[in-house]
Amino acid sequence: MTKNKKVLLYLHLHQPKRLRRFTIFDIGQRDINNYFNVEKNQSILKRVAFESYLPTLDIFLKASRYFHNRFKIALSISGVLIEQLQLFFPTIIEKIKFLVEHKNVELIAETYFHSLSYIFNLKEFNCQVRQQKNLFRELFDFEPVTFRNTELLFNNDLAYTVSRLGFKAILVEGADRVLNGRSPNYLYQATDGKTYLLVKNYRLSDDIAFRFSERSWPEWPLTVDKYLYWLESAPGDLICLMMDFETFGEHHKKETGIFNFLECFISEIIFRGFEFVTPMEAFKKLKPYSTYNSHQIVTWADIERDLSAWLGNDLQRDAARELYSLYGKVFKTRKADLIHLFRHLQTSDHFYYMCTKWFADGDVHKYFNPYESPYEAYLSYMNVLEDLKLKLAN
Amino acid sequence: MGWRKKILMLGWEWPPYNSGGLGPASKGIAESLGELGYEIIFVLPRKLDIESPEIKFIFLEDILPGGLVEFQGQPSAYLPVSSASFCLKNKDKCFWEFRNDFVFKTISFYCSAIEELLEKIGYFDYIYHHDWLTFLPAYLIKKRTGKPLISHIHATAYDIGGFVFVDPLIYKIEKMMIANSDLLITVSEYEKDILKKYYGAGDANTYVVYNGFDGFTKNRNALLDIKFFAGKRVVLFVGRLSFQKGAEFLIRAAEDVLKRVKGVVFVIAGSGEQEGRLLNLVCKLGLQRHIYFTGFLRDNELYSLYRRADIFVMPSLSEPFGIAALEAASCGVPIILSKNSGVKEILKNVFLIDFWDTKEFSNKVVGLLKYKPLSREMSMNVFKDSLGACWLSSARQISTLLESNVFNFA
Repeated sequence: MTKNKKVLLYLHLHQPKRLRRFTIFDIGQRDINNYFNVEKNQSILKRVAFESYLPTLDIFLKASRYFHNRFKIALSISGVLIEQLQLFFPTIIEKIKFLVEHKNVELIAETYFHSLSYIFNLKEFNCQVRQQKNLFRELFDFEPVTFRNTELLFNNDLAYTVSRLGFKAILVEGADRVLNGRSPNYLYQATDGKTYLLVKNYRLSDDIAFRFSERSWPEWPLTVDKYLYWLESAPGDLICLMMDFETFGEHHKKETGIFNFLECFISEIIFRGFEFVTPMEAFKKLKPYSTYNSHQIVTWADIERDLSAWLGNDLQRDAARELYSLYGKVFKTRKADLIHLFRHLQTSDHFYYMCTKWFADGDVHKYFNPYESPYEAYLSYMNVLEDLKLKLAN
Repeated sequence: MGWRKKILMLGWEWPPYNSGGLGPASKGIAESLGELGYEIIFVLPRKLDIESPEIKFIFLEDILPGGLVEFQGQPSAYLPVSSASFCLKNKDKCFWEFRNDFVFKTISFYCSAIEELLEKIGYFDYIYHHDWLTFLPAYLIKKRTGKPLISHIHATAYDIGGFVFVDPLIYKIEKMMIANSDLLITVSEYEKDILKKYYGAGDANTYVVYNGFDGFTKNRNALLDIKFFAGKRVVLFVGRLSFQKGAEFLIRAAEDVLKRVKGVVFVIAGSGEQEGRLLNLVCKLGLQRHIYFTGFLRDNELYSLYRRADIFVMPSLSEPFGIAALEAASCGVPIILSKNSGVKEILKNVFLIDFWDTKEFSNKVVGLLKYKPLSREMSMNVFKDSLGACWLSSARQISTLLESNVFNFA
């Protein structure tokens, strides 16, 4: 059974360009580069780079040296993060470039600005995906064939939209309500009959991503032995583990032993006869098992696995509506810097900070959140939009 | 319960004869403890025309007539803090100059009456007093009877003086209170920190019991329709007009707000020693047409204002709890709170500001007025926050503390 069981490890890298605290007194006062909280973004990036990106990539480089082509993972990096890395940590890009050249990494495309444009404006969505593809081509000399939408946002229509952009596969969340009792551990197909879907096994993924250092979890401490036993005994032939890259070193600090776990996990997978695959190989080697049919939108967030973390309350919906209503005006100006700025405002994190769902308890939503409350986030954001409107009027 | 525990509660004021939050808070606690089965004897210095089903009142004027004949009315629970410039010039003198003799006369009257008081009530289990005002008589009773002394602290000299003007005499009494009480109950973690920091209160016998709010005594049909505010957005301030409550910062922020938004009125409900000063300030800034002073309001009038308000603000320098914010929240008004407040521990869905940061203050007021979804969302969520707070649950916590052995009754 163990033989030929394929493991897809997919990690996602993204850090937004957070906005500065923008008051009504700032409206009409500042120039265009002043929307962003430069210091905060830099300090968070620095922290994440040193605690997570660099040490984790070093582990991957080591694995690449030892196991050559038998070690493979999938990565996606938002364009917003690449912009920041190019400025402050070009070494990280170099390391990823090395891994891509040595076929250890398959890059996965998404919207350049990590935006929810798919919901609001398809034209804009296509633009941002193309922009990301171009970036990969320029920087890594890589032509992506797999797509992941922001926050694994998916519905049936996405397959049609994305296949027209030249993608063959999409990453999706293994939401129970869609799978309907089927196991996520197979290759699925979209309703268009040709796009392959790689379905996230959220139980096994979250065991690492959320529960690894949770001492109240009955399975703590999680050992590689135990974890591989779970993988072995799981049904199906393809297990997709998808999580944030920051899981390693940031969400779980070095002290929790996450890096040892990762190193050991990589080598044991190979020694025990599992096989690492990239999405590209997965759909070449496997036959689709069934159809993944979801007319409704599925994402990988929270328990609800819907959009409620980004567009769940009035604040978020209002801010998003307001933002996308500016689309026409912004493009009419034909000013590249203004358009670029407008796109930065689409980054989904801005809306995530306005989430009131879990605010009173405080939890995962606090990761990297620069605001004291969702209301502060909304106020700052709306003031920025007011300022942008003023700029458009002139 | 065959045998009811008897609490001797030393109070200062009782609504509607109250000068601030102390009265309603003592009432809420006393009545709810009564409901839980305690026998409450509530002692007040003045003879007042009040009654309550759960409580037996004793008025000191009844048992020792003629003690307070030289004064009229009810003594305030709060000593005025005079204007900043004057205090800074006369560092030691000012508190004595402005000291309200009435308060101290009442305290000494309180102390002189304890013999007769003890004779009258006979056996009891606990001495329970509110704030420094009634500490001295409570302490004397403890000395005489050896009963456990419970202090409920609603505010300290540091809060009243906004950390700037700390009345040395009150501080001394409070320090004594902290050192000699068997159980300290305070109204928020924020206040507990002050007690620890400035008074050296220990963790072992200091507990936090949040205040409650049981709704207004109101008549929905009699909701006042304030014609004056027709078509305007109302920013509401409710509180004593004293240095502590920071109404001045609201006026300064109002100046900025009015430059940016039209059709806003600021309503300042309350009275106090700074009223004249604030009126002067309003006139100086030329905002007479936009800022209204209503004076001290109660029940239906106050409720009507809350229902009409678009924003409630509380820019206090230091607010141990802030029941007014809870009242506003129960009416679903979006709230801007000072970071130095205890109620923020219950009400999470609010804006927090530094009281001195009038720029940020006006930013938030304008934001709330300008962006409708913001006030809608905050109003909904803050209302949900307010639902948990009621006096009965506070009383239940107090009762648990009284019954438990966590503190050592000598």
